[in-house]
Amino acid sequence: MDLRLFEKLASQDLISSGSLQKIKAAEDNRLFSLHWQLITILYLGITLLSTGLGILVYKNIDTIGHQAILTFIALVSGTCLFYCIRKTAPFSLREVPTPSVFFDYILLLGCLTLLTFIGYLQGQYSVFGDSYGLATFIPMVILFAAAYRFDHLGVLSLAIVNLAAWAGLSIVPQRLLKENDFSDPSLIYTGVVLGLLLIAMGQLSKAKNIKGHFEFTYSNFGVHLLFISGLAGLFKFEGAYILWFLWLLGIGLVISLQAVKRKSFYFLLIITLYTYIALSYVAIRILWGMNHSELGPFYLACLYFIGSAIGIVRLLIILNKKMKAHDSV
Amino acid sequence: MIAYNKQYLGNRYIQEQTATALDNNYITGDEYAKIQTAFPVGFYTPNVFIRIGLFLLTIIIACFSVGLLLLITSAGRDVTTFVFIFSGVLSYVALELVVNSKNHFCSGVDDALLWLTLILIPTGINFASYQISSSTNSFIIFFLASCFCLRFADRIMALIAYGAWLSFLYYRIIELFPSASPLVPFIGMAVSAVSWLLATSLNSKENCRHYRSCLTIIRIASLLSFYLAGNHYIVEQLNEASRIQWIHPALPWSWLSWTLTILIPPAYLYYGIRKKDPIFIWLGMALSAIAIITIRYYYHFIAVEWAMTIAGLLLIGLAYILFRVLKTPRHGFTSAGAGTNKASKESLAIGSLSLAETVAPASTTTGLKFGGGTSGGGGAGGQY
Repeated sequence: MDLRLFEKLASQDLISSGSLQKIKAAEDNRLFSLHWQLITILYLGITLLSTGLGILVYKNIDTIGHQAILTFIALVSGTCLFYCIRKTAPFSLREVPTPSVFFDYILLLGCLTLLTFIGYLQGQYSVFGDSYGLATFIPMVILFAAAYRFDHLGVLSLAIVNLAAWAGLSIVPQRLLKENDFSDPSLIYTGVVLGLLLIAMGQLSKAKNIKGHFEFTYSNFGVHLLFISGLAGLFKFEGAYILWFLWLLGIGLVISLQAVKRKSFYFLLIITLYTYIALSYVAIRILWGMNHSELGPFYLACLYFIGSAIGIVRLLIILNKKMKAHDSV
Repeated sequence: MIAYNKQYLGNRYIQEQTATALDNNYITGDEYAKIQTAFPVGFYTPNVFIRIGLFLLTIIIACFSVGLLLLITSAGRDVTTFVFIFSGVLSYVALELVVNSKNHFCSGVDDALLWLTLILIPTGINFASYQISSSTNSFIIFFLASCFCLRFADRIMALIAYGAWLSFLYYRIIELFPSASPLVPFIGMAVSAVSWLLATSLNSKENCRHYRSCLTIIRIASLLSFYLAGNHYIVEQLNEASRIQWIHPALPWSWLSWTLTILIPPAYLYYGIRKKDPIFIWLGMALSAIAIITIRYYYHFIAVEWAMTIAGLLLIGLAYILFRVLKTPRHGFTSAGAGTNKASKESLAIGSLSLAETVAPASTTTGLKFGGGTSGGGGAGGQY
């Protein structure tokens, strides 16, 4: 902190001499924190270890070494989970402070290696037989249990991703659009239902105050899934696109009203962007349908984008002013 | 010189400092409120998410405006040149207007207009002639970006200006003295060292106080370019790119470039820990990783999955030991974060998501997709 500045403030009687003394004492005893550096090292280590083990198992299938590797993975996972059970605070329905940052990441490593382990058992020995649903269902249950028991948002995210996998969807951000074959109508409906379910879970957590701080993670996955499925429906169902558009507008309105009320700038932004994509799609469709002259639609499309974007800029500025009173995420 | 209201910039600094003091409970809420009214900030700076939205929308407006202009005026190179330069100038005028009359500061609108000006004007100039050399282009970008950096104290402009400056020097040397290309790494290191010294000395000057964040960026960039200029892989690539037919292109310097590749990262780390300088510590960590990747590129001691597994175990072990050792502060270092509990929880939640991406492909290969839908459960695909 800038000591000279605070001395000046003290001389102008804007802060008391007691406060100035506190700041001076703090500056004298200030410690250099390596917190983020250590977290980066830990995170990198966990990424490398879990990825490396995954590749090792894959490359060594059907060799003598694979059982040793499997044992090693089980050992890593077991040690991590054992450490977490030993160190954890007693269970509570409210938010529980973590024993240490190290604990959080070790739990994550334990869960990740557990996933590799179960996946390997299924792939190699078909432990769960031919019911592939069970092979994603069991990890999902374990992950949800771990997330609630150890109060861990990261494991909760893993659990939600697994829940979606069980329902047949891939909702890891990078693959949400790439790997899901949204031309399959049943997948779109699954997405909508799962999105609504996740939002409901979020609301329920908050309302009943059962791990209320999980609400954001649930809502975040839910809202993205709901809108992407909605957009997929809009693009896919040629005949009923107006219905899907109205549906998107409807949920957009409901959720953005919630966001304004709860002062969440993040949700406001993503809903605005998703709704804008839907609106632009419909506008372009209508313009292309007209087809009166050669370049006419192009001019109109440019004008539409300029006009609509200016409109949304104004809207965002107004909403920002409204919500500014108390900032939050 | 600076476009933003200087009074507000100064007050903004005071408010930031006192906000930190309030977070740490050094000052009372009353004192904080009093300071806020005594040093008001009249900038329009919306929430960061609104800023992202405004940024994207401003870019959309500008792109379609340029598109519309091109449609109306229809093709022709001279006209295209005119449209781009005209739009660039227009965007700059708009930028001055929102900053001066509407007091925009980091609002997303001003960021977007700044970027657009920097993209549109050089694009227009390049439409005017196909024969503009790389060094001239670099110089144009360097000139514009440094002017914008001085006028708007923008960090990204500072970074672009520094990069363009290095690129200008490189192309100019290759053009003028083709035979001097083996010396390029040394020139790069010398320029980086001078830039670092300059930025560091300016950083402590009182009348450069509004540019501190820009100077910090230049300090980081120059330390990075100092290392990269000596990195074995980069040296070799530059040597090949300059197309001088030596029998052993990089041989005369290869022992030197290897020494630099391996020794600079620990040297940065050591200096950072001695001086308690976070920039050097972060760079030392990142560059150590780059050094290891460089070595692996040339020499494969062990298979990549074993390297990853062993490195992962070592890093987790290292982090565990350091967390334990620094639990009680030693030599002025601590492992505890300064009031960052919430921030580290959030980063953990985001981090685990990207971890889900790293573990998913690993498990796909065992016949099962954790994050994948094609074989998951609901029968999305027909792979089974």
